[in-house]
Amino acid sequence: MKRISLLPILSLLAFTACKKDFGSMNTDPKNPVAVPSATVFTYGQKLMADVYTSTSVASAPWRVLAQSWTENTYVYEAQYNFAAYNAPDGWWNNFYGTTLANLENAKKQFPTDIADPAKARNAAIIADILEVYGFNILVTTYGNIPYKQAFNRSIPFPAYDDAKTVYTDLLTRLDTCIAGINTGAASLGAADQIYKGDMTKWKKFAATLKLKMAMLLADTDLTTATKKVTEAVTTGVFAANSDNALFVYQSDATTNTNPVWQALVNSGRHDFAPANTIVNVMNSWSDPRLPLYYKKDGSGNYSGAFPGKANSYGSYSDFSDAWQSQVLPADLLDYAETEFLLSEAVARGIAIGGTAESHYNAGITASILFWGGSATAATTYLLQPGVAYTTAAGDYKQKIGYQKWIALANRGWDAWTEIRRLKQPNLDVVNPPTGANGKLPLRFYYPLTTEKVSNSVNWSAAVKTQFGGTDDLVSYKLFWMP
Amino acid sequence: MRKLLSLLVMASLFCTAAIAQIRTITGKVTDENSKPIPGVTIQVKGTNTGTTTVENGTYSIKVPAKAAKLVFSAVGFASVEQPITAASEINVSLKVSSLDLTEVVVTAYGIKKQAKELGYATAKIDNSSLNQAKVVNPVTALAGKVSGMQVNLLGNGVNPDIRVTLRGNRSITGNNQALVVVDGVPVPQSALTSLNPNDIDNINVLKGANAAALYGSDGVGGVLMVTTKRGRAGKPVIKVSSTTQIESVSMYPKMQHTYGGGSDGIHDPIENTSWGPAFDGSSKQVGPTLADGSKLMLPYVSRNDIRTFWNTGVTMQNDVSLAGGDATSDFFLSFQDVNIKGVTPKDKNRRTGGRLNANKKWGIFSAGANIGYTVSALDIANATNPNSSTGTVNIYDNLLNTPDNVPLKDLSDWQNNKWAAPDGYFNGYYVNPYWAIDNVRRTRKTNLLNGNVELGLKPLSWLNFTYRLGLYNESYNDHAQYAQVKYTKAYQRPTDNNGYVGEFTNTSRRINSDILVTLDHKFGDFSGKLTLGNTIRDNYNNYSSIEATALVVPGVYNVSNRTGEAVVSQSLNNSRLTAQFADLALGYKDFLFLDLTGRRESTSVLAPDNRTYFYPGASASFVFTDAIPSLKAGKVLSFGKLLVSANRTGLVNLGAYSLETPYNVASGFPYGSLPGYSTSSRVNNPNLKPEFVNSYEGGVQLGFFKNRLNVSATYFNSISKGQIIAISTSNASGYSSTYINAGKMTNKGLEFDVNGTIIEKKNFSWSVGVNGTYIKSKVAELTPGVSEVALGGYANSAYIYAILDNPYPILKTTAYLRDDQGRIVVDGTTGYPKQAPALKNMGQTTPDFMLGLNTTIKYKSLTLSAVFDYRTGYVFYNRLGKGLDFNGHSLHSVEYNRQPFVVPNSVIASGNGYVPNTSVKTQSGQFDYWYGVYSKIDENYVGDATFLKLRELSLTWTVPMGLFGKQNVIKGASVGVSGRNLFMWLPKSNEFTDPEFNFSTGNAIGISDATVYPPTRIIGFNISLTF
Repeated sequence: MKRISLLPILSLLAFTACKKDFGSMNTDPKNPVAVPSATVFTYGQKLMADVYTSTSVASAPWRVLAQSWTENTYVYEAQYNFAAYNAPDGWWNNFYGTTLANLENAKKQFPTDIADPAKARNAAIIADILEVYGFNILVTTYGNIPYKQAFNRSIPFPAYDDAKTVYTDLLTRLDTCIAGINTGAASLGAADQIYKGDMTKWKKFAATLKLKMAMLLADTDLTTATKKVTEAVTTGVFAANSDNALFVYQSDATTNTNPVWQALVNSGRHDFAPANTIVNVMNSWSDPRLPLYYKKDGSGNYSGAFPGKANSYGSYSDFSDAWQSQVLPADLLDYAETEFLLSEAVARGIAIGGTAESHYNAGITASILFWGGSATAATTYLLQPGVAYTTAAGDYKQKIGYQKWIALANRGWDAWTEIRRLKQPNLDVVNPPTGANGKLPLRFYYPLTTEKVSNSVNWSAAVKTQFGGTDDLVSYKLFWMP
Repeated sequence: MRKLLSLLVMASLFCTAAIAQIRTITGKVTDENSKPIPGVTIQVKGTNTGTTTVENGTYSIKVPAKAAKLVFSAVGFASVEQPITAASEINVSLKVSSLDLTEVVVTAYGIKKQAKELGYATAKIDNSSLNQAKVVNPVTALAGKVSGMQVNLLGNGVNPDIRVTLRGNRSITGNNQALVVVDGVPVPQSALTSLNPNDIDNINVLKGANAAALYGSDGVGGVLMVTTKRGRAGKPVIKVSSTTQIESVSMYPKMQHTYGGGSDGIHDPIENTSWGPAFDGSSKQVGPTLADGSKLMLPYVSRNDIRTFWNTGVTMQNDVSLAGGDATSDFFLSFQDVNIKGVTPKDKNRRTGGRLNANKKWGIFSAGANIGYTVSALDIANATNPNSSTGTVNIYDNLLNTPDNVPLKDLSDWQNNKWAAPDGYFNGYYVNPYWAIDNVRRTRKTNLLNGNVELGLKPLSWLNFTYRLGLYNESYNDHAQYAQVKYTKAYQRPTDNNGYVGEFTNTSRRINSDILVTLDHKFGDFSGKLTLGNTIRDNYNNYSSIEATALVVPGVYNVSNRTGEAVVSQSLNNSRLTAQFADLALGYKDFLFLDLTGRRESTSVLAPDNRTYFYPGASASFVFTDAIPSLKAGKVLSFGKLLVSANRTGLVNLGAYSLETPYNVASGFPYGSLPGYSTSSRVNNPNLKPEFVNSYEGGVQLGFFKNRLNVSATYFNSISKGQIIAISTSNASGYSSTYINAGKMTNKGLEFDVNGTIIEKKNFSWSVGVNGTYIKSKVAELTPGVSEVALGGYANSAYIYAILDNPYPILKTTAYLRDDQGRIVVDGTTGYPKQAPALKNMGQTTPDFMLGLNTTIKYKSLTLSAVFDYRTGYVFYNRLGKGLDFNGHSLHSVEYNRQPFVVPNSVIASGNGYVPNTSVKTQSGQFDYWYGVYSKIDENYVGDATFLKLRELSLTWTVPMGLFGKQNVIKGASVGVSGRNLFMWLPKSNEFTDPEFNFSTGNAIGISDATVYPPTRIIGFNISLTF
């Protein structure tokens, strides 16, 4: 038994009179109220990677919605049913409550915490770029979101801001960041796990993000889109796979591994399988990425499971070893996607150099090379009539849409967003899930257990302003949809 | 000469008169059976002169000539006042009294008052009532015995948790349990649960905040004042007692025995769920085909072996105590050893302890020390671990995932039986529960020291100083382990486990320092007693944990034997409370009493501006039968008292350091070599103020037929304002919750007690006591924009809330989508019920009406006692039922022979309305429906929590002294049998488990899940001897 120290007893014996001043008794000796800002940034950045790349049905059912993967036993999300695991709540809380909260906190602290003002500014810019990335995802998923009043300790129930206004502000913020980057000054270094503080790369990232966000406006506001795209290309977007924004995972502890590995391998569960939608398309074009994405099934073929049905694990292909690796990096923004965006820009008449076909080919090649395929395989693939830009089926939206979808097979949210944007592949027509609860969701509804309940006044106002009533449905269109 | 004679006469008269001023009176005090009573206090009324009777009941007292009366009093007996006559011998016989109102009651801080003075309701449970069922944990013996008190046994097993509340819950999120005070020192509830019930002389329950006005903050939920035994003047008395109890499961959930292992009606030898075909006796494989090709073929029948898993538990308690003393000192020494073997095989708990209570008086100075020390060792299967959920296995859930056709009873020897070993056990997904109880274990070794030292100084008859120093020190070490297991990859097996070991250390220490000054004086018809006091309390807690989540060498449970980083954490809490208080008790002619209290408290957990607060209280009592003696003339009414009290208490429901918002080490960090910190998801509010509770109480106590029938009723009302509640904020603020002062909660109710001796004859008596409580709680206010505060539960399934304008607390669950007439809406294609978009309010989870019945029958030397406990007006959620619909054991899943069926009372959407559904059957009658649809609608598992329990039943035979002959060694003996929780009457709708069980000890009451084992009944045999 621990020895009971007699000192406190004796001192209390002496002090039986009143003792008003407790001194610093109410300060926790074991938990700090101030920490180095870089540590908070590091965590926020890892969260961004984790949250974005996760495949959890409680927050990120995107791969299933985009039908690059599908579910085996519990098919709620495959049938567009989110009530069981509340993905809208999870996605929202993951971004606001943890990821962006930490990034914002670090950003606010940098000026006081980092001695070198140029370094502090660079650090704040990196955090801001990531925040824009995160807010872009939120506003493009939900619509109106709390923005101006967000992350304010004195406002526990922030009001929602108009989505278009938020979007415009995000683009302005990106411009400010790009202008403020000082490639000559010091930066975060090892605390930044994506680019190790390399400001040149962050400039490219910001420009590429701007390109991406501008293209989202192309259907509804081609003028702004053209302007922003041109600016971005001038600044300099991703030019090679070495520019990709990858967050590298580690194998030393379970929490440091890729969330996809945790879900597919570590859990011991078999919740997911490749979707037959994408596998059949890839099969029809003898896509060289087939062996890179999947393993052959029992009969020596590549096959996918049926979205919306109860599938028996083992009857279809499994995911490749590369996808099931503990250290598979999370891919936030990459070169292949950049080339597809440029291809689309040209196709829409925005003059940024090159042709739609050249960018399209570059995009496909970049994707194949990124996953470990060879340049020759890429060239062969591009010669196929169904793949070659001139002979591929449909308009530019369908050509680019399908190839981008294949390239984004392991980047669920972006794959789903591109399908919503380009309307290709048109899943509602080509492969509606069995038992689907309506059409492919165009958005997420606001969190039912948090926002609707705790921020009810602002929630009702947001729903009324956007949709006119009290219903908050996944079928409602967002401002950027034609 | 005549002058000398008259002088002489006068002188002699004078002398005689002088000598005659003090004389000695002697006598003997006996009880109704003419047995002598030692320790009776005899006092010359109106003076300080007194003495006590010795072992043989005799006394000797010197009385002044003017003395008029002698007062004879003893605990448990009605006091007698005997006029002093010329006789030099006064013998008195005392009668046992159930309601002795000159009896002294120990109130807050050990201040003794007469029961009649109290302006608030209290109840006393004496040693014999506490021990009649030979409980191990004294708190369990309180159930059903006190009106206004709700005792909940939250679980089962060898170390169950108990929750005690008085007059409802005052605080929405804070601690609502009653304060425990042992010998004047407030201690955590764990000090009471490990106290030897034989050491307790009585527990006085101070019911409302009024009664605990002097404990302030901590006592707002009522106080359990525990007084331990003291020695008595006379020859040392030795008591030895031994009890053996047998415990067995008393209720299993209702299950089906028609279908066995498989899914969708097809047999599967390795399946954990029972959705297979109906039993037909044919030979079917059970479990996998092993690598050597062998497989187990068995007749496909129902074996119902799940029940055989549970053991018969045995508890052995042995006690010995020694008590003695003389006129100025007393001592009490006791030892107890309790050895419990649980109903879950291999679960054990052993508690050994001792206590010494010694007091001595030297003239005006007195000193006493009361020290208890207990050592316990708990060794159980690691089904739940309060330290960490890693490395646990839910034994009960694993057990329930065993189909009926599996011969589980033959699969216990996992080391030698290849069909029970990890690679050969039938279940491809869950582990063998017999393997689990050997390989997944948790132990806790606890050392508990609880004691106090008291010094008293009484320099003048009206002035008294007391200093009390109490120390409570509990330290425990927990060890948890999960064996490393790697299964064959040749066929479906449960997930491999890398092995786990965790070590957790905790020290809790509380030091209480109280100083009291009492002034006591009579002014003619008035009496006054003023008590002033100062108290300092220091709370300290130090916790550390270290866990390894992957072992290298299997079977070596050392945290160094690991791969990967160890998971470590530490916490330290220190807070202090100081207070000054005053209590003024005034009495008029011994029938009208007024008591005023005031307390000024200062706590370290609030900011300096808010940390000091004052609150007053007042109570009055009027014994109208003493004021108007003519009321007693009719021989019907023998006692009547009115009481009223009002009191305001401040309380702080916050832990230490709750005003700051610290950063936390980010989960998963250090990441490689990178450190990471995370912002907190809760922003703390540095401006928090204390909550305040205003309580009012009014009541009447009546005694009839010389107090043979006693009736009392008390109305209470408490209003809590400015509650410290955690509210959920929008995540867009960067955090998800914060604390504010808001909210108002009310608790109103009525308590009544009726006690009476129905028959009282020489050899036969029968007494009955009924106590009842009706209580209505309401969450009157929260904060604008917030309509409910979440308390705990299973998110999006079944959750407990404090909801505005509703009783506290409320259960909300997922529910059926219904039309205006309450009919279930089903889908027109699948026939499946639809789920309502929001959670449904299913009702309150604490009873609004409770009734306890205590009865004792004595016949010659036999005593039979029984305690019944009835509660109603509430619901509870049975997650066990949801599990049964997953694993296919549920009884209702066979209602339609597992075929598609039309959901009764259902409707289909048609146009703008609904039409009755008469033809669309459920698409599946199997797992897809019962698990996929039905079990997702948790309102199906909410039931009426009403129960009637026979809590205690005991029969004791006090061996007549005659049987022992003329020897002088054994002075008393008794032999008895007792039973606890023998019968439980539940509504038919409750087919699962005891509604008292709960998955947590906090305020989230009303959810019972598979972490709680089945309810049990206990039968024991006891023998005790007095030397």
